[in-house]
Amino acid sequence: MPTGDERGRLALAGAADGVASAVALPERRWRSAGARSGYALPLALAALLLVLTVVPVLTVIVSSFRPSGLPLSDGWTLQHFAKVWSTASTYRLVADTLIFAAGSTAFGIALAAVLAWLVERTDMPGRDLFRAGILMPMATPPLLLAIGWVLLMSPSIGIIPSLLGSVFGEGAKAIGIYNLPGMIFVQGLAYVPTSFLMLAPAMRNMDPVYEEAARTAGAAFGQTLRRVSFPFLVPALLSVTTLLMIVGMLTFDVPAVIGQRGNVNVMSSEIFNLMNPANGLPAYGEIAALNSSLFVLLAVGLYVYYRATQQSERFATISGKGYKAARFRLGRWRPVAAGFVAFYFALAVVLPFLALLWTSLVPYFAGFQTKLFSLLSFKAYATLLGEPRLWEGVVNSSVIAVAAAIATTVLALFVAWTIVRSKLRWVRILDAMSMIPISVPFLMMGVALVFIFFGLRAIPIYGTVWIIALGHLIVFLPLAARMMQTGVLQVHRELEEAAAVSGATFLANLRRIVVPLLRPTILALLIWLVVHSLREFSVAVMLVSRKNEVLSTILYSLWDQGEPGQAAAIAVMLMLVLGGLVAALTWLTRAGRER
Amino acid sequence: MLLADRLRKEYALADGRIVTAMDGVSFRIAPGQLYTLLGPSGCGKTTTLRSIAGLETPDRGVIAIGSAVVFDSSKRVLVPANRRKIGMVFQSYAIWPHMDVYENVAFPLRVGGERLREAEVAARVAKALATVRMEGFERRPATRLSGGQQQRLALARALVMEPRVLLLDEPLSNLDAKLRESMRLELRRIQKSLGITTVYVTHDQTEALAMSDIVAVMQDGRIVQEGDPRSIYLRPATRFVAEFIGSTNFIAGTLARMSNDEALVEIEGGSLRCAAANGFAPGARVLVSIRPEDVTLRAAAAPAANEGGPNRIRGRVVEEIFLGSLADHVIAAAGAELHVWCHPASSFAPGTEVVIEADPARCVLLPEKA
Repeated sequence: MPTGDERGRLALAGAADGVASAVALPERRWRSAGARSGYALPLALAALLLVLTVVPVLTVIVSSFRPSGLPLSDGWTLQHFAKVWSTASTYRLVADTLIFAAGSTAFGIALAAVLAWLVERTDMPGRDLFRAGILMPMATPPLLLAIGWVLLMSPSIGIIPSLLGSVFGEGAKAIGIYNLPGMIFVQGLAYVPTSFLMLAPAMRNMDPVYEEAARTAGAAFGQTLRRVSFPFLVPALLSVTTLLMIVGMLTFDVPAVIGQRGNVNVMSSEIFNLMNPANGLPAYGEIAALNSSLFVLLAVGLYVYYRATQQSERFATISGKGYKAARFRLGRWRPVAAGFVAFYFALAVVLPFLALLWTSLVPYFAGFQTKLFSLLSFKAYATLLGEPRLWEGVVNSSVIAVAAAIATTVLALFVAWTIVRSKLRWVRILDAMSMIPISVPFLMMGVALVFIFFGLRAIPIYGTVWIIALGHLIVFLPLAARMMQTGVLQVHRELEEAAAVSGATFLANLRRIVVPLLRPTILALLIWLVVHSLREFSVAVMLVSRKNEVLSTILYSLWDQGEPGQAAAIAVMLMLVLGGLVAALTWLTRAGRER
Repeated sequence: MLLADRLRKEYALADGRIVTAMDGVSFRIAPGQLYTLLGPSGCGKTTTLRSIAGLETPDRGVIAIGSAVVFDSSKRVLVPANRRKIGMVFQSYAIWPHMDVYENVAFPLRVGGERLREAEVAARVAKALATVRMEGFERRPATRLSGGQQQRLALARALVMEPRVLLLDEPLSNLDAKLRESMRLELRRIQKSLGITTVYVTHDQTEALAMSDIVAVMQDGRIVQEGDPRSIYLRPATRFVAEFIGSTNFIAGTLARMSNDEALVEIEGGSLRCAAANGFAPGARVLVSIRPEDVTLRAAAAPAANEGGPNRIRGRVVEEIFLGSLADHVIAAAGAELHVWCHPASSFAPGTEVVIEADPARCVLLPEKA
């Protein structure tokens, strides 16, 4: 048994006594939590993150220069880029994609900004209820939202065209959803919860003293808003705009459900079609070239996002706590404001859910007609529940959700703890690496994994649930790492130092101090990840085959094959499960805040 | 016994500047002593304490606890914090909120190398809680303790392992003034009865003077003076120490001559006799430190006492500040504004011509620089 002193003896790299301490940086690896973990853990995490986040992106880029379009083949070429960018329709595609992304971002943020202002800065009635329910639209993922709205808006038989027709005459019935504005509307609705969650704190934390100072300096209400309040929101607005633009450039849910049928092609649907050609092998080279071109655009976006979030942290330190924000008095507009919020909930949750429920219960899809009431039945559910394919999907989705949630949480915990606690200066690179997937659209990450594992037979996960779980781990890592960092930052450093001084090893400290203290964060993150894995479509759709179908892809294929009743039945069940999980999440985060 | 030898630590700030937190810190603490590191924030006292605990790693130097070397940069020895067997009380107390009082105290017994039987754990926890007078609180959740109770709990947790050394990092700074005074006495009582070698970090000079066997005053990463509280207060070695501990007045002058027991300093409008000190050459620019409580005021008109006794300086009252327990008078004299603390009953109106009297033995000679 070696003594403590002997075990403490370390090889000290090079720093002879005479060398000035300023250059003796290697000595910093002597760390409090035990000499071995001080260096090994950050290095291991860096290697893991390199494989998980940098390699997929590089694979796509490399593939776009390979003649065969596969990363491990030989030769270099620019032909794929030449082909893609010499086709006239590519420019049309890019234009439509930009219109779709920008339009839905603008619509979503505008709606969310009004909602956030009403909830955080006015005396609107029922604002606490709204704040409690703001997570609910998470139970309506874009895929379900899109299907729900298609059902509501179907030409001639959808309930909304019928209503418009009876009020404004037959001409109004022609309002369609299978076009860019329709896609923008639905995608924008889907953006509201995220935008709200990012804008509301900015509005809440704005110390009214700045506004009061402006008012006493003689500024009118409008001037105050424009010159003082708005500049405070700019960083938050910029960061949410960038994030949503990146998502919008390659989201596939809405383009799949609405765009495909309306022949509105955007980048994501084009890539999907290229990956699933009617015959022959996919044109991997062109797919990679499209993705790489897009990545250049996104790299610019990410840079803006990074700058903006840096800035918003700077602003956040200005505001303090312990003041009561002055609320704007709405007066006789109070019922109008509450009505507006209720209207949003109707559009984002209630109407799509009712449309899906109705469709799942009617014997044939014929819009909303009162004469169908007597024919309502659970037949679609009965058929579905007798299908082995559904049960396989349930098992696959559950396995993926649980595996991805646990793996992502564990990885996020280690990454976050290392970033916050390590004294090594280069651990900040872990932060940057864990954020990379934010700049990679879900669909593109799916493509990258296909490229990697299609050729890499040594790791036989292609075509299994594990490749989808891996995809989810990667795409959800940035948010998980950020949430976990916030959690670790709230654990006072001395609580861990007290454990170390008490004799606790690195693992004992993690198990007995860090994890128990982070329990609320860990639970909330687990549920959030399960919800998002269950509803996720864009990654899964690129990675599914016969053997590893998940609920969202089964739902889409039923919908695509003209089985709206069964698709709606899955959607209703999924929404109920997601709703339950979101309710649990809401309760957890509120309970956590009250502690 | 605790030994620190030429500890050195530099930090690189985000903007690339290098800060020296410890610049050759050395000391030796005898067994059972309470040794205080006293200084303003940023002086390196906390870095020194955390280096002893193993929470920071110095760039260079040696630290030994008892006969065991726990850190030696030249021999590449580094014992991690969890194997140094020390007790530490943190500034924030660092009470784990997810455990009750019992589990907090029992934690060091549970994570150490040796596995103790539960009965043994219970006995040692009970003993530690008895030491800090917290019997009966075992099952109280840690979140439901007052500041003073948290402080006692933190101390019990630090003592339960019967460590060789106890480290206290500003343990009283989060308590209100009344509680701080009683905890000060209690801490010292416990420390003395256990006879445990203790390092105490504080920026509060009163605390340091009241509790310590030895006080080390730190400035810019160095120990500038070390000694028992009385000698530090009565014979500060530098301008910084004189100013940081207690209040004082400085009168600038030139050393005229030095005898075995007295030095003569030429000041504006006269001269001062001071206690003799080493290391000064005649003709050197010096400062004379005179504490405001060591001076008496007389009206200039009043008959002077016997010649050759105290130093006498003529001055004029600028301001009188009544503080209850004393009356602080600001006197313009010898080219400076001097504070003089008088009995609250005596009062000299602004404008009054006065004579200041100071015992030469209480006038301390200091180098002008630093």
